Amino acid sequence: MIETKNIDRFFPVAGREPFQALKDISIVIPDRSLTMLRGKSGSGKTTLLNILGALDAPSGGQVIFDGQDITKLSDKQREKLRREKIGFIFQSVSLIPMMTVYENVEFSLRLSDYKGDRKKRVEECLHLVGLGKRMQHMPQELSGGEQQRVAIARAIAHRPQVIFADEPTAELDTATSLSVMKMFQDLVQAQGITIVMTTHDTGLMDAGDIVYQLEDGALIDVEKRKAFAENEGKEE
Amino acid sequence: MIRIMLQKLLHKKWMVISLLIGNILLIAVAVSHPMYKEASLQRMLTDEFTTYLEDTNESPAMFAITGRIRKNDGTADYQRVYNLAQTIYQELGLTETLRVRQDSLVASTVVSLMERENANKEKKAVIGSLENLEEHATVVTGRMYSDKRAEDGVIEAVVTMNGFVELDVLPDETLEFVYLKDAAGNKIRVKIVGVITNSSSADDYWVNPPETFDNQLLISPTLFEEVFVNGGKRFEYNSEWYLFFDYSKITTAQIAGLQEKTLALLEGNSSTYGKLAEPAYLSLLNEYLSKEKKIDVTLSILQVPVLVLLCAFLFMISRQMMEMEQSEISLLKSRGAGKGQIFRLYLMQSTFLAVISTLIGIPLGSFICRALGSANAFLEFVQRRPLDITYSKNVFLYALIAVLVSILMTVLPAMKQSGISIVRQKQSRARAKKPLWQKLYLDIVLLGVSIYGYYNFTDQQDELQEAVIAGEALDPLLFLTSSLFILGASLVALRILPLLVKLVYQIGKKRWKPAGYASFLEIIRTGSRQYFIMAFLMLTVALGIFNTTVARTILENAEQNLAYTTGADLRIQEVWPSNELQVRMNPGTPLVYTEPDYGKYSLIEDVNAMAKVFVSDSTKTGISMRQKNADGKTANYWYGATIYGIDTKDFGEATSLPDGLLEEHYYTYLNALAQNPNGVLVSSVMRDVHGYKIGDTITFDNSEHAQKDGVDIKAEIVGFVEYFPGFSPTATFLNPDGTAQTLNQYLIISSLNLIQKYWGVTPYQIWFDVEDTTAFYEFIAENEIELEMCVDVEAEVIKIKNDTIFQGTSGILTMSFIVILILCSAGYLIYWVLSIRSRELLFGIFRAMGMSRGEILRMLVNEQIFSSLLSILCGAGIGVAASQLFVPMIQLAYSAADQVLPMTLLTRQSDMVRLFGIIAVVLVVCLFVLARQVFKMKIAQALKLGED
Repeated sequence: MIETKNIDRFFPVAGREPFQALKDISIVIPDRSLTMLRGKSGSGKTTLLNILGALDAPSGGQVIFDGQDITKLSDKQREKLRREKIGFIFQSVSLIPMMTVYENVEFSLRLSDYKGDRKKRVEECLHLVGLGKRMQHMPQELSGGEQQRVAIARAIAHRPQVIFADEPTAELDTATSLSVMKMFQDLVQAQGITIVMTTHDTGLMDAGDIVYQLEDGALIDVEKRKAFAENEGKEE
Repeated sequence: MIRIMLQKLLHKKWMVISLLIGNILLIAVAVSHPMYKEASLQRMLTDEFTTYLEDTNESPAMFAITGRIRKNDGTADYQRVYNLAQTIYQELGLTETLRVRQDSLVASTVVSLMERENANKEKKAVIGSLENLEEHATVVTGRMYSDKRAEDGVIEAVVTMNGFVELDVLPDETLEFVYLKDAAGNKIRVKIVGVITNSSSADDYWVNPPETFDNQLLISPTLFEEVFVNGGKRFEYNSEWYLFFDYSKITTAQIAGLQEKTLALLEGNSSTYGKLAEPAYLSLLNEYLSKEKKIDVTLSILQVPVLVLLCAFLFMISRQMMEMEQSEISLLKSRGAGKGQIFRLYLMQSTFLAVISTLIGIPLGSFICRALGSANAFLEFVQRRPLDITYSKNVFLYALIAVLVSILMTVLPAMKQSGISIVRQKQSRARAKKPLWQKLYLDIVLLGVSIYGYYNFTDQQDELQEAVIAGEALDPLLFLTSSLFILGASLVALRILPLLVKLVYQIGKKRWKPAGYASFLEIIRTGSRQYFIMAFLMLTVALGIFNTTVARTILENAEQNLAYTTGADLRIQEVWPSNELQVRMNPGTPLVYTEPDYGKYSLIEDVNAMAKVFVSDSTKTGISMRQKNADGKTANYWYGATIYGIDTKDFGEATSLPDGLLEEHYYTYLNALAQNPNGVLVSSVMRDVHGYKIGDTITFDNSEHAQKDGVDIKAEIVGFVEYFPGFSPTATFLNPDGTAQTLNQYLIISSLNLIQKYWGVTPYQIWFDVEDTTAFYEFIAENEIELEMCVDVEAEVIKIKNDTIFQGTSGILTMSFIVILILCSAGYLIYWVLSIRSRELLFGIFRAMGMSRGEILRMLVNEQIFSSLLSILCGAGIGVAASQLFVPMIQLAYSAADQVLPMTLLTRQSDMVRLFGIIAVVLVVCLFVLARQVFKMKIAQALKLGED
């Protein structure tokens, strides 16, 4: 479970007051959920995602990841956390251009120092996203949807707890977007992975278990599926 | 559009600075060529005239025109040369400095009207006149002549001292011409009113020195004209004009025209009655023109590689810039900008940069030129008479060409890019394709051609040498071949290096840490993008090494050769007093010399050692041998040989030989000679060609003493020497048909005692080992010692260094080397900084995936090692190989016929330290910059870049 407590994020602006990108955000991301951060461009959703994924640190507040406040971690510890427990998927080409599809996925295994049979795992993940036959292709030779699927395979290969996806469907057509969302849902259900993604696309929101709505850096609305709403109720 | 361009430029300031550096250097190097060439040729031209003047004491800048009027001939011809004398300067475009006109009647019989002994004795005298005589002559006795004829018709005249004696006249004596009558029919009478001499001994006016006027009665030019030219009667007379011009005002551009026009004038004025003598400067001009060609070719060839490298640099940077701007171009296109508009934008940008560069490049070029003019050796400059730099139209022509080339180089990549759309841009990032040159095997072809060229030249060494002796320039093909070799070998290395990297990658494929793994894939997969910087590095290092080797080898071999052929630091021979005059008057009297004091020289400061050395003239001394001739009969043969008479101990101290020239140590031979008072060392040709052995007896003689008994010296051979200080084992001549011929030279080294025992004490040379010659020359001057001969190695070396070809070579190679270093540093830094910038998104991804900054840096270091460091090493190897192969042949072009010592390839450690030191600094700086960039990088920001 990831929980944020009163996060603020200021960006310095030359010659002016700092710009506040996030205002007092407190959210909870339960395990095995597909959580969406929704908002218009500039609403702060990517900033929030970066903070959740230990890419950026908040100016104030806490981020509790598995019971640990990750804002207190050193660079090294954060890198280790990212390598081992987190996977990333980005909006556009986030594949490494000089590596083949196979190598891209394998690279995340190398990074996380995966102990098992790397070849088997890579193939498994690529089959899972339906690209078992295109392993030796270069990323540039794939379509946008295919590239994003490779990114998913890469993100899950080292069996992370959480995958952060920044606008993973922004550059895809509707059909492909839906298939990516379907894949996310399957991952959450079948593999037990937690996925946090940002989107500005209202059409995709049905797929999310929890949807946080942001505007101008502030949380303005939360929608939860029944199951998660109940869980929360129990805890409280 | 201008606003877009300026914004673009401000944005990419590093790139723009690099482009400016490249552009400025290109223009500076390009304009320095005509500037330096013209300035140094001008200096050479002036030097040639000055040297001629110093050597002959005659001005080469003079025309001698003669016109003759005879009874029935000459009027037309005379008129022609008369006009020529007035207009020749205008015709040739020269500035007059002095005009001498001398008129003289033909010699005629005179008698004296004075009452004196021998008054009636007939003698021949000449009536002459010299224009402006009073300005250049001093009256010794009497007075100057009057311009007016006296009432009784007598004409006043002066005579020179020689004329006074030879004509045997007295002051105020009047002479009457027996057959010479004026228009009125009266005999011409001339009265001697004074004796004159030249006011200054160094006056061009006295082309014909006063001594030559030994039968002339010099009268006023006005009177000469009045009586003999326009007097109404035709006299026979000669007119001579000596016209001097200011040679320092001749410009190099005038030379070819001057030569042509002079030849035409000579052609048109060659008749007996009107003649222009061949001016001495004509041969100087011919010599100059042949040297000019050689210098032009040499300088051009030497500059080509650095110019090519500069173009490559510009191309590389602008391509890189273009690559970075791909997204901007795509953006502009998507907003409707046409192909042409984008192309124009880049054209404007290139032109803008080129114009700014010209403003800085031309003054920089003139600075480079001044530096070239003071180049003393490779990377060595001295204070010297500065070059007189002019901005001729050639300078601007070269600048214009450089600007056009630079625009072309920077726009070329834009031509390619402007056609690219967003779609193609993405596709082009796909798998790296093989570059065209690899597909065409251009590298192998280049290397093949250069190696073929190498063998061709190796086979033709004789022809090469002949060409050099004949004064031709370095064969441009030879230098081109060496450049091709460097280029070809670099490209081949570029083909091999990636394979090597692949091999290393494959070996540890499974085990590589993420950083290493990523860097190997980067090098292997995007290799072709790095080819350019790799090739650039290789070329830089290889050319750097090659240039230093060429420069050092040429100069230092020339110096060493000079030191060897001279034999000692300083060689002199005093003028020995002798009874030569007596001998001439009474043939048969033995020639006896008085030996000057030898010990006095030992007192001079800085003289470390000195030795008496008798050196014979090899045309007068020689070896007699009995040999079989072609018919198989034995006959006496005589070979001209140089004979040294030495004191072994002194000689050994005053001279030295480079190691390895002789089979044993130099002193071993001297000791052998010292131990046998009747022994001689002989040149090894005696053993190798004539079959002599140690212990054999040899007979040598001296034709100067042929009349004396016992002049033949019989001595025992105690050793054979291939080389000996001051001795050239072979001499190369050019046959009239243009082929070179190498002849063996003979040398006999005997003890001075032996020589003096047989041939008496005759003038010997003194060879010195001196630290500094200043004190020596002061000593000579103070004691007024007259020297028959004086050879100073130091002075000769300076002469070589001042030689336009040597100097230009040192200068240009030094300049190239410095430019190469600048380019290498700038190119390398900019490449890496840009390469990091263009990969910021990628690094962001790496960081997001959990790679640390350290790992990313390690990745970059790894990339540097496997692309840059390997390239540098390859470049070094190629440079050394190119030097080994081609420097000996290039050196031939400079050493000419007198290279005696075997050529040795020379590099100075200090040059290498400089080259690699600077490269190391660049690498370290580059690493530092990389590290800073990597550590400054914010992941979130880097990733955001990807979102746009």
